[in-house]
Amino acid sequence: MRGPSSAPPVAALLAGLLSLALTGCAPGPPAPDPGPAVVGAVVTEEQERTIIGRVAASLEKATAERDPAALEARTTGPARELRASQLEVARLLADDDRVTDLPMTMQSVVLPAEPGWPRTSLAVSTSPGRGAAPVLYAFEQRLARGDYKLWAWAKLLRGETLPRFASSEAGAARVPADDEESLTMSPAQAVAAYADVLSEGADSAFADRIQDDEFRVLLREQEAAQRETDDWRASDGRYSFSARPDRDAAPRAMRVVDGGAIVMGAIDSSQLIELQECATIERRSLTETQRALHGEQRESNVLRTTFLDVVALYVPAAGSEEQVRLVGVEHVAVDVESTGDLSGCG
Amino acid sequence: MVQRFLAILLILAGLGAAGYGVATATVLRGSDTVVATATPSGDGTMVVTVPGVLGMVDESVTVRASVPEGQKVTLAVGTETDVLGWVGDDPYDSVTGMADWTELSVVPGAGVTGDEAEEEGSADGEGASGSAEKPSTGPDPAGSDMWISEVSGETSVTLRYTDQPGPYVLLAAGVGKGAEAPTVELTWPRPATTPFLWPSVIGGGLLLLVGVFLLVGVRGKPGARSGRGSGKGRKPARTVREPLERRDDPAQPGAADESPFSLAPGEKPDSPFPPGPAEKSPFPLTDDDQGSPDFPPAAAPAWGSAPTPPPYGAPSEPDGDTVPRPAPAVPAAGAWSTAGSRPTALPSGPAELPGHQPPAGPPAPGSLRRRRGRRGAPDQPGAPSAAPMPAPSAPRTPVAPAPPPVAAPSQPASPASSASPGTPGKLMTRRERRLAEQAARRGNTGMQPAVAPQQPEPPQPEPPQPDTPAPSSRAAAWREAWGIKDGENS
Repeated sequence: MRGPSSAPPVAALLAGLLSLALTGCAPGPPAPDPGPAVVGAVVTEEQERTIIGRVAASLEKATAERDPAALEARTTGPARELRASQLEVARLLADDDRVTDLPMTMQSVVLPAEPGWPRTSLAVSTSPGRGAAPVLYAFEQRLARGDYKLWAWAKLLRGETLPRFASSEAGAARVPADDEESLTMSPAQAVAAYADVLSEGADSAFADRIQDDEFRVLLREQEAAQRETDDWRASDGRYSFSARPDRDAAPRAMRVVDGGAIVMGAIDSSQLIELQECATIERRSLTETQRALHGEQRESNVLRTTFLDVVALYVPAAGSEEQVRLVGVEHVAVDVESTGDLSGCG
Repeated sequence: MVQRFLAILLILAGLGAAGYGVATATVLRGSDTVVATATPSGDGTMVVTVPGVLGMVDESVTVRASVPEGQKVTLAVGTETDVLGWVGDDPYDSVTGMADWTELSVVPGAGVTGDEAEEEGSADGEGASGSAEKPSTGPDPAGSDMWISEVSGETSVTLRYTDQPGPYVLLAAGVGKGAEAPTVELTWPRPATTPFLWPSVIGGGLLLLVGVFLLVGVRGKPGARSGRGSGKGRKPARTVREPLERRDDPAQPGAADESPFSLAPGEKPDSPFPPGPAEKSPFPLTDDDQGSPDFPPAAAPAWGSAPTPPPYGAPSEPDGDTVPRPAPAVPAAGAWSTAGSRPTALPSGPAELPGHQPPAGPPAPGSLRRRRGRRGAPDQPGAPSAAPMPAPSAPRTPVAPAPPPVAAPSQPASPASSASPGTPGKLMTRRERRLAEQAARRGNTGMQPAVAPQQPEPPQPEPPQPDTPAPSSRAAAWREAWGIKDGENS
């Protein structure tokens, strides 16, 4: 062939083709695609399960060891106070019977929908069986760098039907304790009002705004039974029960689907029994918990038992005709004082 | 001369293009992974990606974070909100994307200001172990409830993660005293596509074929002449004259030079290998990804386990002898069943992440490519082998490129439409006449020659087959000459 002359053009053609192809095969690096904005719960069910599992493990360990100090890691607020007292009693009595069973298998959760902190979530356990009531829990993550902790629990009342919770995908908003706008009364007011009806009964200014419930019935029955004990009149017995909201624990509230809120709050209550001077309230007449808390105190004519109550209230949305009602409660004696003065009694 | 030069040029270009196409799938083929590194610049101890970075190249990513020897480093994946909330006001570096294929772009992160939680610090007894005032002590994100995946270790740790819907980001933190931000390396598998393989091979093949047939067209004329005048020697003058003759008769069917072009459509049925599957590829490493070490374990066992339950009849309250129990005794289990607000019990099964498996469908690109390579290879040799054939077979078959009667319809059409220079139109008729004469002679002897038209149709649609029968007009002449009835010929 007449070859030599054809070589340069061919080479040029090849080079052109090559360079064309080479330039074509070096696409730029990809850019990150953040995807659609996500609205809804900031904690997934998966995460909540992990969180509850960790809390349960820690709580179980502390309970098994009857070690109140071990509660630090995963409990806070009223829950820590309640549990610490129960573990102390269990240690004194060498018996766990009075330690509230806290089943951590949940049938329903309310997850936080707001990105900031603190974050609160609610959970309802399945029934632990043997007729025991399911437990309503409030978990809280106070700081981004903190762990979720059990803030409070309350055993649901018999026959209670909780309002519908927000879906776990959407999450629910936390209701500020002082939010009076969206509810018939703010969470803080609701807890205070409930404490008032515990103290005052039918005389309370809130008596008609708060539905009567079995807890109040039980307290009334307790008082009546106390008044009917032997020698009550003879010893000039006096009984009083007072309650006020716990100042250290502002209520936690989560919105439910109907616009109302589930409010969990702590109430300090005390039962005071006074007999005439020089009479004594015998230790053997006390409950085991009271006896454990009574310890080595001298019997006297005055006995003050301090309780820490966690109440779970349903507060209807503003404009609703419904009353505030109790949906769950935990009522635990945390202190017993024998304060009578026996100095003049020989 | 010009034609030959053009033919050689086309052949070389075709070979070059095809060779380049093959090279893009072999030696020039891109890496199967993309490795990009973020080198921290700021004075913080943490590196945070923006949403989307982890899944930038592929949803399956392997993260490696390294700090100077002996220091502790933690990797965690969480939502952007959680990670930035955790970082708080501390300085950090933000990985915003890729600067190029090997470098991640890093900018100082915009500190989350006004995080109400931060100043409360460890008020609750929980460890906010670092703060903005002491950036030299790196806080440790390990163990937070918010991470969906995390790993801690010394010097260098690796985390495999499969991206999932949602604004998930990576937090890499150097931990402890004198900590510095870790160097983060992200590795993704990349489906190494070979977009130029088939276009180049096919295009190159076409160029090659065109070149070959141009060349054949040049050579074919002398070859045919020499075949016809077997033993008589060449007559160079003819080669000069023939193009002129051709131009005189452009519409001559069966124009030899046209066939390379008509070959192209005929070639097509072979060419369309679906390039699609080669680009998808299953990456085995995505499969075991999210079984990542510590995600479910802590939770799973505890979730289903209830603490030792005391009998309900013995409430925890101080009830008893003297006072009725204040406890909200709510024993009725039956009643509860209605109280269970919703049947939306959390599933208690082991934690499983939603599907992150890659599609399992297409085979590995390698094998597919190889298979195609094998398939493709014969195509190219096939063309050259077909090309020279006209010359040797000239005695039997007048002009090889003539389309077979049953060939693709486009083939007869295109030669007819534009007969290019070099078509030995008249040659054919002469050859026919000559062959007819030969046949007549043989017919007298009663011998049946091995004649092309009698042979079975080759399966390939490619026209330049040696056995290609002549077009119907010539075939008719054959039949007439040989007394062959219709039907025997096809």
